[in-house]
This record gives sequence, structure tokens and C-alpha cells, in this order.
Amino acid sequence: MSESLTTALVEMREDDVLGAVRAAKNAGATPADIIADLQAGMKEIGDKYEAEEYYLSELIMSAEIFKRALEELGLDKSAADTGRRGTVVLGTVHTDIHDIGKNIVASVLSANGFKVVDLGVDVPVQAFVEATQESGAQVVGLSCLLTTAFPAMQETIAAFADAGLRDKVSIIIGGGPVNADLAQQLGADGAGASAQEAVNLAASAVQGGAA
Amino acid sequence: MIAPSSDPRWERLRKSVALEPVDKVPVCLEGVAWSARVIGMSLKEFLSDPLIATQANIDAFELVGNADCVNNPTFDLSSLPFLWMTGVKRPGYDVGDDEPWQVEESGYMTTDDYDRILEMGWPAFQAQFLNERIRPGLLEEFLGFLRAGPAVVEKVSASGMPYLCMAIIIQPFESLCGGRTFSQFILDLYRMPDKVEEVMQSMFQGLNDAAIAGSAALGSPGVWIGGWRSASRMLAQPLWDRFVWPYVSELVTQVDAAGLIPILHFDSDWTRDLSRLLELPAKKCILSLDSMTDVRKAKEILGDHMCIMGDVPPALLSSGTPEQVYEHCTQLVKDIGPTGYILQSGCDIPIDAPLENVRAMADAAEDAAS
Repeated sequence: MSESLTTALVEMREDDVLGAVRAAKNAGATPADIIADLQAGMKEIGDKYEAEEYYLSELIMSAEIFKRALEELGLDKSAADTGRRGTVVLGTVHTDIHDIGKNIVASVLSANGFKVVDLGVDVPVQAFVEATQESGAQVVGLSCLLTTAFPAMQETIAAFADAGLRDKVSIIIGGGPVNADLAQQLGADGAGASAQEAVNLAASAVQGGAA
Repeated sequence: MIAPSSDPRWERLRKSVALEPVDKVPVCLEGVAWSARVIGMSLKEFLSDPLIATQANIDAFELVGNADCVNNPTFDLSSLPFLWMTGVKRPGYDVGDDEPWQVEESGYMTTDDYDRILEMGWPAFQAQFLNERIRPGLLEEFLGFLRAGPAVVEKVSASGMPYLCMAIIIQPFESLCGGRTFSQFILDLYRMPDKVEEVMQSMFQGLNDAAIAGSAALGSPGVWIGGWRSASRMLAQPLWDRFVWPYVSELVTQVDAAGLIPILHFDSDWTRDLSRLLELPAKKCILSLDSMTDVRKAKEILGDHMCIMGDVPPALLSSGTPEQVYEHCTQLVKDIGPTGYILQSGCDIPIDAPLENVRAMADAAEDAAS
């Protein structure tokens, strides 16, 4: 493990991260080794977020640095989101076009080793089911900002039951007005208040724990 | 400010801001889209004229029956692009006549615009930006809304409905962040902090002078100081200290100096920095929370310093039962009130909140007083 690379990422020193990646590459490190160092940094950043030492801005900046580091290696983000930790289907539900939170969650999940199938915004109910069937995702993330999109969340969750998939996937909801009470009311397995909570819930779900 | 009044609703508001004992925790309705829906008006019609929106707010207020005031008595959709430098999908144009408006996260503004702002000055840049990049005629729509101010106040005064403010003002962070998109703006703060700060300082000069002076001229009790994406939970402490707090603090000073109540409309989670609000003038401000900030922590830290407003969760108002709303609000009144507290929804009342739930909120305050 390259401590300098990991530390530079944790400290948001973008140029130093890119320099360390180039140096490691020139020294013969494999892309897999370099990605592992970067993901160790992402893990530490996540821990600092949990401890309220870091905030959303650090999650966003570190995910961006991570992406640029992959580009430095000649890779795109799919090199990191190999599904090592699992696959997450993500989208903003039908009737809602807000995507700030959803996009941040996608970046942070990806940088933490999840494969992310991002369906975008205003996603029809059935598209979530089909993407889950095609990708074999273990986790589905439903996002909304509008309370008027709650029925669409509920319909989406019901569609998984109709397709016989409900007990095969964990469904997590997120977004401004969403909380644990609502998750229970809608029949979801959990609610994420932040991108880092989404990572924790997804990890827990993939490991077989309750989301 | 709120002058002493023979109307008990105005008195409750005045005393709540001054942290004086009240006979009942006042209830404020932040209706906007909900007001239209609850009286059976389409959003397209609600947004067609500021006076129609005002009448809808008056009708909704009277329908609830036992609330004490509304937050803003009117609304116009052009105000959102003006504040946030981005497009909005409009009922009747971009979405159905009665579907909620939705703010775009499109990144109309580029990093090159920082230099343009410095060259042109903010007012000229903003005028050109709104009309040329978002929608032709947008600035004129907003100016038309402002011109309706005196007629709105006349209508509201005739109805007797108390209200808190006529204008929303913001710090540069919110406009730039809305224009750039949240994620891109965060990257700008890390990659070009000095440039962003130079732009913020440049545009801040006089940014809100007209809104503050206009509010005072209209006799508005207070002015909204909006904080959405600049919340503590969004930003590393050094970024918040440098790009948010100095501007918020200065805005409060400006509003207070004009004799108006600074209404800190702080959405999302500001818990980390609540103690900084002790630096603001005592017994002058209202801190309006949306249920993401720890309201009990706010009471603990700021209860002797400023009035707290909120923070009934939107999801509860939208999807809970009247009994659940009543129970939640009764607990809020007990924990946060009765002194220095105004019971309100966390941010706007959701458009789909049943009338019975809003009445349950108002009833909880009334029953607690009896």
C-alpha cells in the first residue's frame, strides 16, 4: 500500500494524488494495486464523514479526485465499480427530476467499490425492475425530492414484489423529505440521509444484514 | 419589526421574536403550492398573477382557521431563477398544469462566467444571464412581480392576515452554486477558491440593498435570508467559515439595521454551526428550520438568543395521519416552546399535505395553550 497516495487523497491534495498515481504506475505498480490504495483513502474519508470530521464537500471532492486518478491510469470509472462490493441500481423515481443527491450517491458508491447502474431521473417503475434483473443487483436505491413522488416510490417497491424479487433485493430510499419512518411506511428496507449512509446501508445489505 | 398591536396574532409574533412570554405558541403557514392545492386552484393559475397567489394564500389561511400568520403572502416562479441562476420547469408549460414546479440542476453557468461577473458587474451579468441563457423575458417577469408588491400588501392588509416577509435575499454562495450545480461548485471551491472569493466579494456589494429597502418601504415585518446548499452538513468547516458565514452574518446586520426581522430560512442540517448564531443580534432574529437540523439542540444553544421556527417534517405532513401530526406538534410545542417559538412546517407545507394534517398542526398549538 502507498501511504502517500492514500494520505494525499484523504487530505484532498488533488495534484499530489495524480503525481503519486503517475509515480506508482512508472514504478510498475498494477492498476489494481493503485485502485486499492485509492479505495483505502475513500474508506478513511467515509470514516471521517461518519465521525463528522468531514462533510459532503469532502465526499464530492474525493470522488472527483478518484475519478481523475483512474483517468490518469487510462481507465474509466467502470474499472473501480467492478461490483467487488456488490451492485446497486439507482435512480430518481417517476415524476421527479431532481438528481443532486442521487448523483453524489452514485459517485461515492462507485468510488467505494460498488458497481452502480444509474438509471437517471423520472425513471418508470418497470425500468428499476428490469435493470435489477439484468444486472443481478443486490441493492436498489430510490431517490426523490418531492413528497408527491412518494406514491411512485411505493409503486416501484410493489413492482419488485409483483416480479417476485422483493426478498432478493434490499431497497433503500433517499432524498430531502425521506426518513426512516417513511421507509417503513413505504415498505423499503432503509433510508439513507447521506451518501455515506447509502454506502453503509448498501454494504450491510450485500453482507446479508438488514439495510 | 413588528409593532405592538391589539391583534393577538401579531402580538404573539412580536413577543415570540423578542423572547417574551406568550399566551399561545403562534402557528405560521408556509403554504405556497399547498395553498393553491387545498383551495382547488391549479398551480398554473396560482402562478399566473401575484395577486391570485396572494388571494390563494388568504383563502387557505382562512380555511385552516386558527393559524396566526403566513410566512410569505405571495409567490412568483420567476423569483427562483433570479435567486438560483438556473431554470425551473413550470406548471402549464414544462409540466402539467397542476404538477409541482421543479428546479433544474443543469449548470447554466461555467467557470468562465467568474471572469465575466468581475468584468460586467453582477447586476449586468445577471440580467443578461437570465434573459439569454435561461429564458427570454425572465428578468421582466421578475421585475413585474416586484412591481406588484404594493398591491399585494394592500390586499393582505385588507384581509387582516398577518405575514412575516415580502422578500427573499441570499448570499453569493447560493446564486453561484445554483448556477454551477452543487457538485461543480464544490469542486470550484477546492480548485479556484481565490477566484470564487473575489467574485463573491464583488457581487456582494449592494446585492440585496434594493430588496431590503423595498421590504422596509412596504412595511414588511422581516426579510428571508435563504440558506439551502450552504448548510453546515454540506461543507467542510474551512469552506463554510470562508464562503458562507461572513456573508450570512453581514446580511443579518444589514436587515437588522433596516429595522426588519432577519428570518434565517435554513434548510438542511446546520447543527454543527448553531453556536455561531450566537454572534448575531439577540432577540431580533427568527431561525426557521426544515427538520434536518437538530431543533432541540438549536433550542439548547439558542433558546435565550433567538426565536426558533419550524420544523414539522414534510414527510409527516404529507403522509402521516392527523393524529401523528398532532402528537408530533404537541411535543414540539412542549420541547421548543412556549417562549421564543413559532410552530411551522419544515420549509414549505408539501403540496399533497391533507388539510386535516395542517389543521392538526394548528390545533396542537391551540390545545397546548388551553
